[in-house]
Amino acid sequence: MPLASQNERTQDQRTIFQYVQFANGKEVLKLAAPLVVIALAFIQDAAMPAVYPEGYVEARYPAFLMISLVVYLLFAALSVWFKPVRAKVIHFWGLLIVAYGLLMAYNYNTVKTGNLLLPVMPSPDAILNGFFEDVGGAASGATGGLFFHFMGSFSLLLQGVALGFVAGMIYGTLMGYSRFWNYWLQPIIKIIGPVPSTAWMAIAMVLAPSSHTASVFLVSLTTWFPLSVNLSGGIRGVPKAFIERAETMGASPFYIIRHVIYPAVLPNIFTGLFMGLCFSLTALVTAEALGVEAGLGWVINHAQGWNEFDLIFSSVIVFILMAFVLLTILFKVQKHCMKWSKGAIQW
Amino acid sequence: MVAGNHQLIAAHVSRWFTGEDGVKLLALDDFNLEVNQGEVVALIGPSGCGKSTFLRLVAGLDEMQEGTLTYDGDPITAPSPNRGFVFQQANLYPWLTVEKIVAFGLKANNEYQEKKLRVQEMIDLMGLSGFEKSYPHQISGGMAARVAIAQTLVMDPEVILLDEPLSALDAFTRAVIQDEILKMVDRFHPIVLLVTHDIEEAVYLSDRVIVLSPRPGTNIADIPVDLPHPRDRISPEFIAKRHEVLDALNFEEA
Repeated sequence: MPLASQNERTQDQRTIFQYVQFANGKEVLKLAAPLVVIALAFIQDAAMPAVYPEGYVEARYPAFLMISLVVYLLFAALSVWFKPVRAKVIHFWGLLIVAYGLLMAYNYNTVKTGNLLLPVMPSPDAILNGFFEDVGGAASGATGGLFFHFMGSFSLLLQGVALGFVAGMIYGTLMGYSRFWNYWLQPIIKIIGPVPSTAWMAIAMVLAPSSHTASVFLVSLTTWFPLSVNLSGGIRGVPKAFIERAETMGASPFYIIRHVIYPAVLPNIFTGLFMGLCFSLTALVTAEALGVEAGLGWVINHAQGWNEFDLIFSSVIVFILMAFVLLTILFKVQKHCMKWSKGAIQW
Repeated sequence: MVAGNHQLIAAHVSRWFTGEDGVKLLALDDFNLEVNQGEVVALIGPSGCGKSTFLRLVAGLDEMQEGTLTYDGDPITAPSPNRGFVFQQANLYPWLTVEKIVAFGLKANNEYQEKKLRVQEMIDLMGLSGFEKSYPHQISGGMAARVAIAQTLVMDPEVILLDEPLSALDAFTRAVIQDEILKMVDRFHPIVLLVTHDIEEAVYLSDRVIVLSPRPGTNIADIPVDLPHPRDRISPEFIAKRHEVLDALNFEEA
């Protein structure tokens, strides 16, 4: 079908050209403003000598600012022509100005003047270096430093959350669907659920065959609890009419669970997972600090002992990034699964 | 109407509910009914007379305490795709598109592959073409009612139970769907049990109107409606039938 494909091509071209539209004066100003601030931050850092600690040689902060500058320049240049990119870049203009402005002020007050107390408030450069430092522990000697600890935390978290998810789905379904199971399972969740994972730590460490198993168990516990409660509550709240309708059409109980109840309680499942993931992040740090000799939680605890505050900051930043990415993925999945829904939790 | 072999028989059916205080509330008392294939029977009566209760018993969603309820001689104990139920509220699954809602029953019974075409046929018959990919929150109440009917009819049930499916609709939409139901009856000759409050609807659609007494419900009149289709709602015969039903419903005078 040569005609059809030709039509498609002209349509594609038309849509690409549709997006090309030059930015107006106001938009150019908005695009340029963050560029100026990033450039200023770079100039300030280059122009002022490091006085605290004296003779400190900055390693990565100038490079970081340079990369920021280049990346932003690239996006800003694209934005001048392409409307969709422009809308997104301009959306961040205020946030970028404030972020790099604050960074500049922070840099000024730490390494450049020492106004803020070192080493409790490490300079941006020290925090950046922290990402690459060999911090020891189970990953001692391994190159990559924090990255290895991040991988440790990440895998522990995924294992725990995955286990907690499976357990929570089964537990919540049984509790919500069957009165018999609800009678026996409800008391267990009422007793175990609200106990903070920290309190279980010592017991889990003794009972579990390894500290890793204990940590996975604790993380899964904190996912399991909110998921089970949300899921079982949701199942009991599924309109009876939804189920009866399926019954009159001859659907089996398993078919109803899979195709009526689970879709109906999808919002509850995501709420439970969201809460579980948040709780699990807390449990993760606790578990690592006390048990495993690896992971971001361990690094933070370890660095505190050695007064390495730059490392604490670096670890916290990695932690924030990890949590941010995971929650963003969760909400993207939720949005995809619940296209039919008009209102869901926004992230 | 063509009288066929299928037969639904209710004999001395009684159903009561026990309240939290232990008081028995009798909903149906010694209710009797015999319906043959191809017949449309309307159940009419005041609110709470047990007509919906009876429909749920036929659907197999509830159990009665006394009497027998058989379809083709077999007692009814559980729901079956053979007995389709259209509920008062459309209550469509909000996560499915119109097309998938209509196909739901076929998929649940592993009949989707063989009867795929029935889905589109039903969608066309109910005037839903063009809305196959719409979600329930995107369509009107009248359309939702049609989707609910299509969802039930796609299973080709031998018994169709209609529990005031049109009560929430405006008069115009209701008339349109009433005609759709008649078309469908003419084509498939099912047993149709229609619960309604609307005397006009009962006379317009059915071959027999069963009048129930106030709670506990029991049949007090069986009025045949022998008018030819299509029925003229303002013809003297039609209005005379409405009077007949109304008189039977007028319990205080009786």
